[in-house]
Amino acid sequence: MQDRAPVQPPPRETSRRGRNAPPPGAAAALLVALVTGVGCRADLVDGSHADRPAEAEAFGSDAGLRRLTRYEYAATVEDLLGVTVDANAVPKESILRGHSVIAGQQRVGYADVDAFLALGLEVGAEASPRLLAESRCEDSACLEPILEDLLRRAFRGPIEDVVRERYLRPLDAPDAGATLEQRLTTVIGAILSSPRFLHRREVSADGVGTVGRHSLDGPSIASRLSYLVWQSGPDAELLAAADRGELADAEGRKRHLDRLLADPRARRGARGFVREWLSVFDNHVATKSASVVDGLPADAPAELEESFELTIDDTLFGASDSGEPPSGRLVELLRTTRFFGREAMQTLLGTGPAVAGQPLPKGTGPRLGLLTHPFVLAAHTKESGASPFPIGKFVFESLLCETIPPPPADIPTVSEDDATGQTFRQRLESVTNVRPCSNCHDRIGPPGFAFLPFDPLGRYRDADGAGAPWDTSGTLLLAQAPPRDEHGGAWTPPAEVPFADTNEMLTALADAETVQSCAARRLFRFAYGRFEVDSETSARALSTAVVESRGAWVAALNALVSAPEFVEMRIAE
Amino acid sequence: MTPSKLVAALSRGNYSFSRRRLLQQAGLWSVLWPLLRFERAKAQADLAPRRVLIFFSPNGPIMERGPASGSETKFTLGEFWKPLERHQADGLFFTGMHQAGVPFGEHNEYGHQSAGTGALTARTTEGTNHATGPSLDQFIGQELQRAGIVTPQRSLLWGLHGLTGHWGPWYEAAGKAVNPVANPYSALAGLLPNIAPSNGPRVDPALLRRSAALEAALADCPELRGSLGREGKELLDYHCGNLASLQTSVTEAIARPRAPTCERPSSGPDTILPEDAPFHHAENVDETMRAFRKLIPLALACDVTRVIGFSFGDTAARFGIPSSYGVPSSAQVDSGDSGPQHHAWTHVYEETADKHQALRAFTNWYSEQVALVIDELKATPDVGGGTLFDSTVILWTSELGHHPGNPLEPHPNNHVPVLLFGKGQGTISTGRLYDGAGEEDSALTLHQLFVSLARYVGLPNVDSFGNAGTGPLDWLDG
Repeated sequence: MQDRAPVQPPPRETSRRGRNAPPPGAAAALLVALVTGVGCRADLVDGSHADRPAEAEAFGSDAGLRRLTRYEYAATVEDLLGVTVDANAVPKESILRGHSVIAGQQRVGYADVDAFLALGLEVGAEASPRLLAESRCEDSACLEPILEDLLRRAFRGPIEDVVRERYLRPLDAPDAGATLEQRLTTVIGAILSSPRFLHRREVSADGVGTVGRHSLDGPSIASRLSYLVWQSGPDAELLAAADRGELADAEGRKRHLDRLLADPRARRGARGFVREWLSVFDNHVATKSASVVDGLPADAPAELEESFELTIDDTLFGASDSGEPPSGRLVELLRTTRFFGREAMQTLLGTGPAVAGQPLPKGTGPRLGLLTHPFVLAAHTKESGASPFPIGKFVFESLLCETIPPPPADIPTVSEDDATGQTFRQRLESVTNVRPCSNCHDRIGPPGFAFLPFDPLGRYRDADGAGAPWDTSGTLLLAQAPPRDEHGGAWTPPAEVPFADTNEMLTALADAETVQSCAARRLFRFAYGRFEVDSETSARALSTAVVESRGAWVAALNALVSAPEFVEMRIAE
Repeated sequence: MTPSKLVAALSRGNYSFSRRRLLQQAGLWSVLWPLLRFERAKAQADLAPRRVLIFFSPNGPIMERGPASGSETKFTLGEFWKPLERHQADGLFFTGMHQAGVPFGEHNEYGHQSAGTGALTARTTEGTNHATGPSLDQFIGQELQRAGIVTPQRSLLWGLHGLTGHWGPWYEAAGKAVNPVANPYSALAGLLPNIAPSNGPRVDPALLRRSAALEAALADCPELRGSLGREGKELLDYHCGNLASLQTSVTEAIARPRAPTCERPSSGPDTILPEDAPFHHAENVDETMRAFRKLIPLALACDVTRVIGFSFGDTAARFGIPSSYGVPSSAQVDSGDSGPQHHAWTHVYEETADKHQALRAFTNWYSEQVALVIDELKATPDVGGGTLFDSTVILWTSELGHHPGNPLEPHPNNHVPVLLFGKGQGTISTGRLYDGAGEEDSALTLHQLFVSLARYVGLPNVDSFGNAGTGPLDWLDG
């Protein structure tokens, strides 16, 4: 930005901290996220896993404990006790570079402990009367076998006598409640507050935690498999298979994978991964400006989230009644035209009413894949107006697995509706097309500009603030560097993929091997709760399987569970 | 084993104790408690427990330099802070303060990032996208328990927002954010088991159930440790240390008698809002605050905790107040937001009457809420014959401040308004103004202020807080 200054604001006072005030009159302006560009080129040059930041090195080994995510907690409790828990009531995960599943980052704090205890006792209070009614138990002795089974499933493995005694003791303890129902509530609260429940344990068969590679014990393999596919703990059959040693064998795991995939709960695993892949951790719909949410029904946030999940189900499993077979491919999620919903979706997409169980009719503007879904856009846009650079950054980080450095301090602003004779995009590019800004903006700009017509909740707008038609064309720069250890760090220049409009860009993304291999990388992290290391053959095998199958979900899961590393843990210094 | 020794033992990874033993000790503690309390009370000349209440407000006043102007003892409050005039004689007003912990005159981080994470932690993010240490409220709560000053809740954190994003002000530890409880019904539900009714069982059965559940969960800890590597052990120890800390608090709640000035409420929180209301919604915040204004003195009078944090908004909050206050609506600004909310108005780069009106309205509203809480504390009797206000020190700081050379700068780490209320059982000389003049040293003054608060509440050995070791602020005692 120092060699020339295409935007010439009037003179203004420089702050002590080096930030300039923007030109007067910029009542409606969009932040131009100029970036230093240092990181973008460096990442390309060595062809390394660019989104494995320095701190990721610290999270490249198996922690041995993986705190349940909100969705895993809710699904597990539902399967164990038939109680529905709002995932948003569960303590939230810590996000590390766009990932919510990196185990080493998930510490359970004082407030978390308190919240888990309160939630566990609430669940217990709801489950206890039903358990007593169904079992017709009137004393603790009658409940013991029921609780032993619950303990085994909740703690995902064999239960030692001392543990069994510990959790059965409150059934006869007056302090734990005046009635059997209250004491049962206490027991359930205790189970759901235990580190044995709140963490998935992945421990070695030899029982040691020394540095190196170790074979996992059977229950750990069962949990890794069931949480990958169901987002929930292993059922009795899977635990029994673990006891028999069947899961140590790749064929045995694949047999059980098939069984788990045939269960309706398999949709949870796919939804969980897609949330992770697209970095959609929270519902951001209600955070948008009043002008954006005006006119939407009060339950729009819930409807849009449900619609997002239905699209995943429909694409990967065939959820609708339309009779069309599902593609079963992750990449189709990036170009599906089948969207579902009610009033909010119809309003935002500009469609007519839907027939029950059928996708919505075509609406206004281009609409292709989940990246144009209102729920996904809400997670990656500002409160109002256009958000080309946040979206471009999201595309590069989540779909292309590259790191974009944060914006620098001195950011000029460009008005979205300032009538200067240039389009909004032209004015943005006049600022970002110079070095060093262009180092990164060459990459995040084009995919971001393809989303210019969409407002923060995905409404299509025909023209920019000055009335000019949108220019959504550009060139995608797709890194195609293979792993370093195979190619000695030689730099392969990025592939240039030109596109004419939004739909061509989205199609190019869906077709790109880079996107597919990035999805594989993120799936690896989802399965293992850590970053991959270059030498791991399973990560590469997964990438190959995803690319060759063009993102087939079932093929990807098969590649994951059949890899030798799936039954191992890697403990680093 | 006293609670402090218990925590120390647990922090060494020694989780092997039985609940029976714990309760026996708690029982002993319960017998000893009145004696110890008597002795301590005598030693402190019958003074009530010392407490700290910390308010945080989002964004900044931007167009005003600080809360007051004048000399140290003759000063007037700025119009943004006028609602606090009735408590002026009981306050200390700091102007020209640079954010503690944030490098002076450097812009190495995005404005909200350093301001939000630094305001109460007095540290930078060091490139981690998070605070690198605990916020003052959490620090005090943790240290009090370590020092053996145990309350049924280590600390309480309430506010007008729930989840916090990156760069929030409240941290339990480096990288570990804490979220305020925004629902007053939930806040009250968390208090009630710790407040024995005057005509019922001395110990709430819910507390005993919590204790029983925690006992089982905690006993799992040592059994899980052996098979883990270093990273797993660290995760487990962090988790189990917090389980032990909570168990310590619950045990204390079971053991202690009800404070004589404490009355367990027989109905819900003082609000007409239903339990599932959007409490943080602009039109609801007055009603929500009405409830919290009663909950704060309740928690302190019943000695449920000695430290409360209260958050008016998250970092860069799109905070709004009811339309009856007449806040004008901002057009869309460069951050993408708009409307009658605080953050949008800080990003308006014109010095307009509307902007001034909006920023004044927000700071007036925060000021009025702090003033009303002080009213409540002054009206609530405390043990020893005084009121809660006599023993409670109230700190209010803001995410951002003002840039004297550029009143349109939305992210100034300088001239952050800081206000302190309460004579602190006679340890603080109030009714004065401190002018840090925007100089680098003013950040060190804030470090010292934080140290003084920690010392006031019962941690005499604390010598530093945040990323600077500074000692206390001697200026407080006049």
